Amino acid sequence: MKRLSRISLIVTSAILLGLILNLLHPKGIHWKSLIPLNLFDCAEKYGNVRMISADSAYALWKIGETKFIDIRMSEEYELDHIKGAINISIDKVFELDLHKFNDTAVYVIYDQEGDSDKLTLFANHFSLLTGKTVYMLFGGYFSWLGKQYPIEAL
Amino acid sequence: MKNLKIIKFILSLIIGIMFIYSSWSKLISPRDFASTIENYQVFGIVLANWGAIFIPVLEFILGVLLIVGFWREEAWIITFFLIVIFDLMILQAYFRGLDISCGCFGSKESSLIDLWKILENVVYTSIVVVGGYLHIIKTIPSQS
Repeated sequence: MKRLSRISLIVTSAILLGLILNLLHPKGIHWKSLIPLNLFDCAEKYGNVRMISADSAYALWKIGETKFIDIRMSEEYELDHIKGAINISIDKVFELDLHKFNDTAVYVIYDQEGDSDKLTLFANHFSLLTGKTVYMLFGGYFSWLGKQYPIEAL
Repeated sequence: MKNLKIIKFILSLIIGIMFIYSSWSKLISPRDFASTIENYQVFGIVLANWGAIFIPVLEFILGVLLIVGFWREEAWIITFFLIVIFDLMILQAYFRGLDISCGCFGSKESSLIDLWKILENVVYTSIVVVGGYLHIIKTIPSQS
């Protein structure tokens, strides 16, 4: 019993300490990424949005099954972006020509760091409008850059 | 008896240093470690994120406990379960043919999962099993 309580204490301490360290870490994991996306959402109100790591997105990109949507500022997009990505600003999400997205590709949406409210909003609206399951790039463009995966400039 | 104590200490030191070393780069870049966990395609990104927050700290705590000798038996028990989970993850990745790096010592580690990596883990697991046996089973007083 004593041994079990000590084990529980070690594991609990690790979880709590891990959360505190992550909170203090300048490049820690955003708290939103620790909660399942649609946990508190109403299915009718929100779309089907999931997260994907840069490695998994790259694996899909290599076999041509992924299309990237860059929602950063157009200046940032022009400077450099994921190879083949298209740039759509947040205010254009309701003006999209939905026929363009009527394919079987996996859509991955990204911003700079992958944790902005804008990204979640865009991804949910995009999913609702197209009826697709869409993915948000975990860690955003920085994670893609960090892995040195293909980029291009305009 | 004295020799047994030295062996127990050396085994604790080996695993302790290994855990502290492997926890370091994971603590520095939790996002990269989360991606590494997700690459194993067992957990979704949310669980991978929790793992990236929790596992490096647990490794660090276990490393310190094993070296210092405080609650060493409990530390060996958790270490055993942790290493078994690592082994299962690596084995499933190998048999599913996933072309991914192990990430055992952080995301910067580039060694792919192959037979050598499995062999390496067999060695670590053996050390943990022997260390755990000497610390836990050997310390239980006999009934007679």
